[in-house]
Amino acid sequence: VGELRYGLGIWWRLAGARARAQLQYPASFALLCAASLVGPAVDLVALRVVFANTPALAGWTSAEVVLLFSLTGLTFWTADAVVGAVETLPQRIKDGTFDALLLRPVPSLVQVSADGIAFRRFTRTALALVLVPVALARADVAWTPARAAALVAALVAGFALFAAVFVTTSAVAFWLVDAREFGNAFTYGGAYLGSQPLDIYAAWLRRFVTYLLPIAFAVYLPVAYLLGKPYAGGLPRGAVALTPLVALACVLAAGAVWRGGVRHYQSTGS
Amino acid sequence: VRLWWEIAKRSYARHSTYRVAVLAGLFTNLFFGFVRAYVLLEVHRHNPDAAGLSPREAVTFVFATQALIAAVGIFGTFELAERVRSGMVAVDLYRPVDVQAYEAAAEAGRAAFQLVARAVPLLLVGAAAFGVTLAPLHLLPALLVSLALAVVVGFAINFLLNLSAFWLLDHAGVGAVGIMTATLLSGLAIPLGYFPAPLDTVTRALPWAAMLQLPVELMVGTHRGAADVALVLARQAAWAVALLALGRYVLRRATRKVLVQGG
Repeated sequence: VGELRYGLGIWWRLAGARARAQLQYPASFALLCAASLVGPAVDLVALRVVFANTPALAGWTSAEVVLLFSLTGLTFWTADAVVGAVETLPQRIKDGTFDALLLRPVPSLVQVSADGIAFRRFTRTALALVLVPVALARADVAWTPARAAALVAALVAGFALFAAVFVTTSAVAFWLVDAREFGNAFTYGGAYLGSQPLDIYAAWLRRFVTYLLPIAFAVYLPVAYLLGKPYAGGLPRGAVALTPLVALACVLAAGAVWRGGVRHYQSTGS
Repeated sequence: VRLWWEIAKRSYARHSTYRVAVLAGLFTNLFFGFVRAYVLLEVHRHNPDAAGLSPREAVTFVFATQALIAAVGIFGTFELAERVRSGMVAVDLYRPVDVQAYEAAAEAGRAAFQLVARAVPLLLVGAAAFGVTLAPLHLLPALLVSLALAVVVGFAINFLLNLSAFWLLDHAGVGAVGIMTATLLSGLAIPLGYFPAPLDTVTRALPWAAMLQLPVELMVGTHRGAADVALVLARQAAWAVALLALGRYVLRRATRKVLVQGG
């Protein structure tokens, strides 16, 4: 625990330094903030277009899918902003700057994710913080304590799970340095997949995101529970209670993969 | 012409070196292909002939767009913008070689490789998983012309985005907006036919439609008559010429600025 606090403290300091650096050019920073919102805007437009052609997707109304989308967005975009910079790992391995990080007495994961942090990405978190309450109001939820707990679980577990996916897929670079795009399928692809009701997918894909890459637990199960909808694939109603455990397991697994990668790392050599 | 051919050939060779990167990209295209296909299939369950497409044509559309993303360069490359930022572009301008033509030749080589390496396997997997419908074989020459024009339009748009670095130095903002605009308006996020009228017609008339929407319509077999096909090709060609000309003009303006900056 002491180590964790130390790591978080360093992360905070490094991120603060980056924040001051990025605010040195306020106009450019403001433009980049606005540019970061174009991606979510495009996703929302595409969602509107889908619902211009059909009143419901697998029994989910437009308002319900928007809730799924905005909660996935809130957790995924925040994870992207906080640890998404691990995606620079392949570049660091190639140009040899990763070696320098290993010399410092700070966990390499903290350094890689804090050093490349792009504060403009937090505008998406802000956008999601506006979208989620609106979507909750429109989706007409019959609140109970258990449903409120499911919402909290979705927020925490979603963030942890997506962060774990970023770290794990980036750590692949320790073994395969050119496979950067491979991670995109699971990070951006995973978030895209998870922002639709999983009921629409074939059984093999649903099983994959339930048991292997458990994105289903991140947001879909809690939101389906919140809305009183049956789960895709007939999982038992109580499965949502596993969400925190699944998220914790994923975080531990991601940490193990990262440490294994660092141990395997042999520098570029010359 | 010999020079451009050699540049294109070397660019092809350069991109074919990174086998693992190609496989990783292919995997990502496939993943998105499956997810998007399931979304559209669900739409077609409620609304069987949405966008004037059969379910099978909709799936073909999705896999064809995924197959062509890399070739037409939806996600762009910003090597030129990086060189502008670092000042290396001075060396490019100093050579007795036309910058736009040089970049275009390199892009042609890259696109040809991506077409071979990604388009074919993606369509095969799509066909194996869902079944696809393709245009009749006698339209193949027209389709190839259309693909070439799509690559040119993609290049021309990307070239303009890169040139913005001469004024803004940092390409991150323009690049992000450019990529997302292309994602929506090329028919990648969702085929333009699903847009409610009149947005379907409006978006089809914009240049980004020439990158994916129009060639994929040909590939799926939406256009069969000779006049229909010719009209699509003419549209793409018009955008290609207009955007290339704009690129030349902007490059000239940019070059003048570099000379001023260099004092």
